[in-house]
Amino acid sequence: MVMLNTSLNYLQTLIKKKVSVKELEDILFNLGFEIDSLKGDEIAIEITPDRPDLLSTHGLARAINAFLFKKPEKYEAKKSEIKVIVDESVNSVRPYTVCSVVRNLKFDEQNLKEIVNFQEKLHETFARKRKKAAIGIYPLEKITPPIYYKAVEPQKIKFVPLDSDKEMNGNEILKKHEKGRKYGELLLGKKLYPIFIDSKNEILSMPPIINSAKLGKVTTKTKDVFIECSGEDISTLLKTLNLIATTLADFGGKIYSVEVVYPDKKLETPDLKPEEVKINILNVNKILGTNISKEEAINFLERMGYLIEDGKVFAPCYRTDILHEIDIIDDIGRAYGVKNFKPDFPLIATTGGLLKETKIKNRIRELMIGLGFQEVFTLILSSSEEQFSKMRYESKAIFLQNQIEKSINMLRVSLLPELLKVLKNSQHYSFPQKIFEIAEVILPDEKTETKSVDKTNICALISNSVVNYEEISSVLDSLFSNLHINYKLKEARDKRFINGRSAKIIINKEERGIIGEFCPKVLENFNLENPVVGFELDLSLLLKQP
Amino acid sequence: MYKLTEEGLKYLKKGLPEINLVKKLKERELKFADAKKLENFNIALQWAKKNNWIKIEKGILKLTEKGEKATKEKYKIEELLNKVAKNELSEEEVRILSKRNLIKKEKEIRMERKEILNLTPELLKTGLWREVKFKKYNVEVPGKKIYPGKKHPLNLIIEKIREIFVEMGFKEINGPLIETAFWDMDSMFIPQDHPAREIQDTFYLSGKGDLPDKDLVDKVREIQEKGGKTGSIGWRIKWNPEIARQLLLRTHTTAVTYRKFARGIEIPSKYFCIGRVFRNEEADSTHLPEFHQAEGFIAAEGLNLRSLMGFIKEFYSKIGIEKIKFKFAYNPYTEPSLEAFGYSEKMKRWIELINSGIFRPEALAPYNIKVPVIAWGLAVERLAMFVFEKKSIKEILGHTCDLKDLRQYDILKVEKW
Repeated sequence: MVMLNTSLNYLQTLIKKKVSVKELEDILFNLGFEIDSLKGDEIAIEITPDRPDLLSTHGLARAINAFLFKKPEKYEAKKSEIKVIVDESVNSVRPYTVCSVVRNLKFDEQNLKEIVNFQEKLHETFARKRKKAAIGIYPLEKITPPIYYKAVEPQKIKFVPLDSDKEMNGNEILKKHEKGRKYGELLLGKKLYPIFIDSKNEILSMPPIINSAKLGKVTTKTKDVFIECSGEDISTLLKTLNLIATTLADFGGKIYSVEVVYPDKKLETPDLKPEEVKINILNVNKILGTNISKEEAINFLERMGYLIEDGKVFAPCYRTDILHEIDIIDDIGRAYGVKNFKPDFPLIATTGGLLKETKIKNRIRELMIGLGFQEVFTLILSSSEEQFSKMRYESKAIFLQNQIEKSINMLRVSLLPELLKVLKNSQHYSFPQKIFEIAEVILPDEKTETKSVDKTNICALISNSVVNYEEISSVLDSLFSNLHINYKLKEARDKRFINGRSAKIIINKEERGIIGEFCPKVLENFNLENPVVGFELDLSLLLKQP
Repeated sequence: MYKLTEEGLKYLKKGLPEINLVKKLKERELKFADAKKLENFNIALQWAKKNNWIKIEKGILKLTEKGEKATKEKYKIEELLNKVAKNELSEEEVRILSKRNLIKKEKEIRMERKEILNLTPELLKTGLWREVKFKKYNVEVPGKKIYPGKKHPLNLIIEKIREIFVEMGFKEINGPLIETAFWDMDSMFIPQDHPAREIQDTFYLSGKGDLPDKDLVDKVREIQEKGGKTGSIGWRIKWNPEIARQLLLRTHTTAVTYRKFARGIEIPSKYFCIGRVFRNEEADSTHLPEFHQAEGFIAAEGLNLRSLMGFIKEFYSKIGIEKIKFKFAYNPYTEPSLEAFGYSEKMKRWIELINSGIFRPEALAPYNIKVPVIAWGLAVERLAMFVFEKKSIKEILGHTCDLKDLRQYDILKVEKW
């Protein structure tokens, strides 16, 4: 979940009326957001990933003000006459940029911190860790336009990056600088690295990694800023630029456009023109189950920050989540108020039913419980140490590629070790201990669509200070005779069990499972202090019976 | 050595019942009904008849000649009883008395007089239970602990959820645990650059799976890239079939829903699935990298946001929660989406169990579904933790939920909640 972490007091001063924490909580809840934590003045608000525009305090205040008072902000850009010239060399590395200028800003500690945080939050979420977009903000007074965006060999890029006092080249930045190590993979394998450079040959930054310390550091003394967003898709970049520019405009700045000159086209950015959206009131009422008029719907949309002109509805330029009419209907629903919807329970006649597989499993579970076995519920994610080494067993298996949890690395192929783990955790409780589970194991199978097959096995174990093979073989016999299945036991040579005390379970001449008394080595490996007998049997054929 | 049994001893003192009977009859005849009241009448009658001492005429007991004679002579059995103490019985005499259970070997008698612990089939068969004294138990001490086979508590919750879905007319479906990214994500309009696809959220497996038929794949591609004919602008990023072929551990049961969509659904219809899902995260008290989801969907004409709320309200009420509230939420394949909170009277707080929504048009178009489809999902272990009052998910699922927990839990908890 993405959080907006800010100061409660700051947020309250940005809202055009005095709101208590309780009122704030209610407004947010209605809009679909929650206060995650509030400690003193520090507030964390959970923002859903569809609304990156709310990841700044000003952005959230903008939405709340519209919700309370309508009359949402309209953003416009004047021409700045500043040019950014894009060289075709960037095509192979990071082909696009869109830019803007914001003037007359009054930065203080608070809003400076806010814009830096907002930039980072956008990088991490909407910009997909700078892959889709990297944002750079610079003090305009230090830059001599026009600005060039081009790609050059990394060793020829030399500047002092932010948070450093040493000049580094492109390669050194990737290796030594914290941001270089974090985002360096985005430039991995590229022959040329992109840079923004001004007319005096001063480097502004090396996107998407780091700004220069000299030209790329905004301070409380900065009045005018230059903003660039670079990446691979222009529409994403334009949205990102709008998110930053409108927030700076909310700080009190004036937005100016920049001419971005590509070898084959010219763009005047940012594009702050709100996009007209059509609403069909029939669809609105059909989806929401309401009976609201078009005027009411328009009214609701204005509270959600949409701009209304001559009865036409425009989506604000900072909204990134509107793909379809349904998204606008959702906004109407939020403004209508979630509490105002009356739940309706339509009678839709259908017959319910369980899968046959579920029913068969339930019958077998009942039988095992009747035989005095306690059901257990173990995990599918396991480790080769437990499934194989400790069990003295091997088979084909499916391994995980990228597990975060260190204790796992494969999908279980057998329930036996998982049930032994339950016994291991239960050694202090009274004996005999009889446990069972009916559950899936997963095996590789090249013939299937998912290159795997889920089998349903039953596994039962008995542990006691004295326990023998006959005790478990009579349980297995009881299981088969109650299922009316003919079976045979054939002596097995299996290292998991004591020699001469294990057998393969054969049904219709096919091996379907194993039964036996566990080898003391296996018991030792699982730190078990009492003998254990058990069986594991594949039930798949039974469950898939027509 | 033979000794008199209790019966033998009694007869020695009071006379044998059949002798006592003929002596009574010598004084006067008796009505059968009155005679029945005499002590040991049945035994007396049995032997008096056997000896031909009496006859019954019109319900009146009378002495025969032999009976008259018997009152005057010494009765052989009586003589034998007197001989027991002197140990003068012949083999034949022992047989006669033993048959009437009037004597026993001394050893046997001693044993019978002892207090005994267990009633045995022998005691019942021989009637000797009459002679014995049962040792008293301390019946007020609670019984020794025994442990029955029991269902796992998580399965009780799963059964309860199944029961509710079936009651509400839902049919059960299931699907594979390993999925292609296609069925887990692409099929339902999750963009290929969605954060949930990243390796820190999803378990990927080596190799690639197979995509379904080209027709469906093309429709999904078209919708992902440009929105198809739904009126949507789509995600506007190039759709890569290789990403869709990636094998992964399914991250939600919605993959099962989408396989069902592709197989075809009737209108109206209701389906549900309860199954294991996987998220690549570290285990802590509320998270495990695997857990269970329950999910139901309804496809029918005329469904809307209010009906979604109605179904959820009904569902909550069936797990014992009457007070509910909703919050708008976000989900890439449903819009609008709602989170549903239930107020637990027992815990005195709102708990969030259900996530829900109406499937987006882009998420239905490839399957040619033209009616609204509403769906909701439930976190099964979360509910189980509330019901069984557990602070850690490890006490609910996995080998960490050990025999102590399993033997002790209250089997009625689910019904009481």
